Parts: sequence; C-alpha cells; structure tokens
Amino acid sequence: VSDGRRILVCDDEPQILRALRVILRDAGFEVITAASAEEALDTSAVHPPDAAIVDLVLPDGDGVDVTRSIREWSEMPILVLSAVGEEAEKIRALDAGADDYVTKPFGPGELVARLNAVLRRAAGDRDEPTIVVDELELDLAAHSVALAGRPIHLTPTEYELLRTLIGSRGRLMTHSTLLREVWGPAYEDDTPLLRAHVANLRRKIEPEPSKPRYVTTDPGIGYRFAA
Amino acid sequence: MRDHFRMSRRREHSPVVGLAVAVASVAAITAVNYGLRELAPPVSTGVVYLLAVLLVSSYWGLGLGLVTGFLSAAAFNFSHIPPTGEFHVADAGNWVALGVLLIAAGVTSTLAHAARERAEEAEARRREADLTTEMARLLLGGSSMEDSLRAAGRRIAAVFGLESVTVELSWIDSGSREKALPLVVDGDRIGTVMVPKDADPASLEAIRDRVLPALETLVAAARRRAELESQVIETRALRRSDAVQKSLLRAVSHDFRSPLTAITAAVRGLRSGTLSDEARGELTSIAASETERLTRMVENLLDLSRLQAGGAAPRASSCSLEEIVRAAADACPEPDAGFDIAMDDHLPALNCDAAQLERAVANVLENSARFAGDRPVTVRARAAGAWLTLRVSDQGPGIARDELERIFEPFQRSLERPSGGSGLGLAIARGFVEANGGRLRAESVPGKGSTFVFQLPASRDARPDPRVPDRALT
Repeated sequence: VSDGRRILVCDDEPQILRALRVILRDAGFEVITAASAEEALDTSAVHPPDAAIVDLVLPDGDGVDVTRSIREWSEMPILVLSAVGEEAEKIRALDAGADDYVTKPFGPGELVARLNAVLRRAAGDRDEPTIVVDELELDLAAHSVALAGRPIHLTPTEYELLRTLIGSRGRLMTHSTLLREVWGPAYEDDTPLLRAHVANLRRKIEPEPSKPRYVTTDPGIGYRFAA
Repeated sequence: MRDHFRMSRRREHSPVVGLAVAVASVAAITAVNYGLRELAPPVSTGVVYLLAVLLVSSYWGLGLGLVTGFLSAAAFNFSHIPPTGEFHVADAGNWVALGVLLIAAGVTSTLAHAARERAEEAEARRREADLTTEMARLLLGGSSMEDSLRAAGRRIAAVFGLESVTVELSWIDSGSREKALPLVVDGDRIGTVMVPKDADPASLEAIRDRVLPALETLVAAARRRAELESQVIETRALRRSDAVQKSLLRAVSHDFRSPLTAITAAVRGLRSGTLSDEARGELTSIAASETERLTRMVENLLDLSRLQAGGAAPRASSCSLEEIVRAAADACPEPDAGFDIAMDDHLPALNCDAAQLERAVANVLENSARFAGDRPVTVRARAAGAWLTLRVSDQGPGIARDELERIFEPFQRSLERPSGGSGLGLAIARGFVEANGGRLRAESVPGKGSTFVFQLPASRDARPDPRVPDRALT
C-alpha cells in the first residue's frame, strides 16, 4: 500500500523527526519533515503529501490549528501525535478533522499500521453502492445490512450510525462528531444516547458484542469502524 | 463610670474656688443692682441673682448652688429690700419676693445640676466608647497579641488616671499592691488584668463591669482572626506545594516523553530486518543521545530536590574556572555554530565545588545553545577585584524584561518559546552558584540576545600571580 506515498511529519523534537524519517522510509514511504506549524503548512501547500503526521504541541501553534488549516483545502489523512493526558486536545484535533491519533511513546509498528489504515480509508471509493467488511455487508442503495449472508434488521437510527461509521472506516470519530452527524447539532453532548445506540448496534452486528470487532471504542474519545 | 468622672470633675473645680466665685458673683450682682436701683423696681432686680446660682451650680454642684441662693437672698434683703442696710424685712410683701427668689434659686440649682450630670454621663460614655475603639484597633490591628494587650493596658490606665494597668496572658494572683481581675474568653481564663489596689472603687467597678467584657470580646475576635489567618497561610502553602508537584508531574510526563518517544521509536525500529546499515546507525545514535538527555533530566531533578532540601553543601577546593568551563562545554550538546570560548589569562583560582559549578555552567550553556540559532554562543571571563565574572551570551530571541528573574524559578519555561528544556536547568544553575557564594543573573535585549552573568568569588589565597600564566594550570 505504502510504496512511494509521501508523508509529511511535523514535530519540534529533532530526534523524533530523525527517528520517524528512518522508520517511515524503512516502511516504504517518502518522508518530508517540518519543525513548526508554519513550515508544515508551507511544505504541504508546495508539495501536497498523501498523509500528514502532526505533533499536537508545536512551538508556533498546535496540531489542531495545522489540522484545521489543512482541512480547508485537503482531505488528506491526518494522524496526530499526542501524550497521555492530552485527551481534550486529541478530541479537538479529531473534531477539527484529524483521522486518528497515536499516543507517545509509540512503536514504529503501531504508527505504520495506523498510517496504512487511514491511507486505506482515503483510497476507498465513497460512491460504492455496497460496502463489504469481512462478513458484514451494507447495501447503501437498498438501506439493508446483512451479516454472513443473513439480513439484519436495524432501526433507522442504528442504520444511520453504522453508515456514518462505515463511511469513515478506519477513522476515529469523536462522540460529538457522531452525535452531530447522526442526530443533529442539538445532541452534540448527549454521549449516553450514543453509547446506548452503539450497544444496540453491536448486539446486532457483532459476532461477539462484548469483544467488538467492527465498532471499536476509544475510551473517553469516540468510536471507529475497523478498517 | 459616672461617679468616677464626677470625682475627677471635683478635682478640677475645687469647692473653695466655688465658694469664692459664689461670694464674688453675688457681690458683683449686688453692686450692679445697686447702680440700677433708680431705674428698676428693686423686686424685679432680684431675678439677676439667678445668674450667679446658675453659674455656681453648673460648675460646683447642687450644694454650692443652694449656698449661692441663700447668699443672694441675704444680699438682696440687705441691699434692696427696705429697710436697706440691715437684714430685716419690714413689708410682708417683700417676704414673698425673698421667698420667690429662694425657691427660684433652688429650682435653678437643681436643674443646672441635672443638666451637668447628663453632660458628664454623655462625656463618660464617649470616653468609654473611645477606649473600646482604641482597644479594638490595637487588638485587631495585626501586631502580636502580647504587644496589643500591653498597649491596651496602658490605654486603660491613662483613661482612668491609674498608675499602671497590665494585661498578661497568664494566670496571676493578686499581690500586695495589685488586684488581679480574670480575663475570660470562650469560657477559658486566658489571662489576668492587674490594677493598682489603691485605685478608687468607682474606677475598679467600671473596669470590671464595662472595660473587661469589651476587652474579652475583642480578644476572642482577635484569636479567631489569628486562627483564620493561619489557616489561610497554611492553605496558601499547601496550594503552592501542590502547584510545584503539578509542575513536576507535568515536567516528568511531558519532558520525559520526548526522549522516551525517540528512544522507543528508534529501538523498536531497529528490529526491522529491512533496515540499511546507515539507517541502523542513525537509529542507534538517536537512542544513545536521547538516553543521555534523559539521564541529564534525571540528574537535574535530583539536583533540584537536593538543592531544595538544602542537601547540596559544596565541597570547596581551589579550582580553575577555565577547566570548569571547558568541561561544561564538553558535557553539553554543541550549538550549530559552536561555543566561542575566550578567557583572560592570569585568572585567579576559584574556591568552590568544581563539580557543582560545572553543572551550573553546563546548564547555562545548554540553555543558551538551545536559543542560539545559527549564531555561536560566546563565553568570556575576566577578573575584577575579588570576583570573577563569566558571561555566556547568545544572539537568540532574547528574554522579556519581566521574565529575566522568573526564568530562574523551577518549571518556568518561556511561554512564547517552548524550548524542549526541562525548565529546571537555570533554577539548578542559580542554586549551585549561590551555594558556592556567587551570583547568577540574566541580561537581555529582546530580539538581540541574552547574556547570563556569573559572579564568582576568587579564592583568597590564590591572587593572580603575573609570573605564572593561567594556562600553566590547565
């Protein structure tokens, strides 16, 4: 998947930049680096990368601002690097359009896997009439869902929730993003409502609802549909 | 209280003077009336004597007022009532006039006396209120309880005209010359008020019944205030140590994460079988340099806790500043444009803990290197009297005036330019320099750069020797 893809890495720690350059090159990516928000925006405007990895804390701004600026003109996948305890910042970055986050310190394996996942999501055809993920099949035209060939009855809300999650599969969607897209802006803070519907959805589509395989949880942040 | 003030009034207006005033005023009125005898009927001029009665009874009381009344009646009879020149009344109608004068004098005297009593009582209340206000100011004013009570005692003594009144925060028994009055606050006897035994009973009663209860209430309020104050101070101290702990946690969680992230990525990246030799070397060097950085951070934390616990007693010995600076420069990552070190020859030796000073200089060099950009960090040293001055300058962004001192506080990283430092280096540097009898401060022209100035005491028995170049030491 990764051959020749160009990745922008933005971090103010030169040693982290150095390590990521070596690791991503080893994984087959082309790497461009930036040490500040300004440099990241300049570089990505001149040579638009296929994806960006942005540190949340930058000397001249934060990763949220970089994400928001990139989203003004590009749908490229964005991964943010964050630290434990920066939950609020992570959510702000995700709401600003970041696809996922990786918590420091991280291993190269985890980073490359996340990067490939968001790149796959970006490559997916948005207009495909039928989405098939493992045994789950979603027919967007017929508004029907089937698991291992057997039709599943979903309420309209559950269907909308699944469609939203699957439409951005691989991407971590925050509680407020999901609530806004499925229920509307007035419901943005109603996390218990979302939690209840996710539980119902899992009971219907997950082979083992207690160990979800399709809809996974990022505690305190949101849900994602496994890519 | 009222009695007390009346007594003090009597001391002011002696009865002998009162009697003299009575006689003199009656004589004066008689003389005036005698002059008026052709113009006014004698009976009507008797009224004028009431002025004398009013004057005397206002100042010397009812008794002398009545005496003045009788004197007036006698003088009136003698000089105006026929037959004049003798104490005899011929006409029965004039007896009535004389009787009316006497009754009017009595009534005037009584009324004047009552008015004076009321004025005195009001005056006594005012002074009592003043005393209470004064005691409140003393006790709630913020100085120590002992001092305030001592001053309150002096004020009570002054108001009651007593030789001395002392307030002690202990349980004292009456002595041969002093009477002990207990001071009770919230049900506890917290002290004793000592008053002279020979004080007049009225003053004693006033102090016991009026002044002491006020004093007790004030002491209770002062004690509650002191309690609250100490609680506030305690809370503030707790909050401060809480803030330091939070900063420490933040420093540990944030600052340690950067090298940890680089190390984790590099070391796990090394597992990949597809790495080129060059990439492998790069990852290895990242892991090594970041491990060193982590080590320095841990050392900094330990240094800081030692300095804060006062456990960093320097082991002083004669040492060379140049050696210290060179070692410090070797120990920290070089800036892009390098260190430019030039020291005066013949610098006197220092008498200090070389290891501590090296850490201090290294921390300052590391800080300057971080902000130097592509310009070199210059290091200059020279001797001036009993001091050696070391200046470390960068041409970086500089430091705002109001941050020049704050950067030496732990965890005070510049807000505008997060630097990747731990926020501890400068605090530790100053701590070590001061522990060795020196001083460290920052100077800056924002936009042009910063200079850190060390002032270090030269060793007393190592004055510069012009024949021996300093280089010989190195």
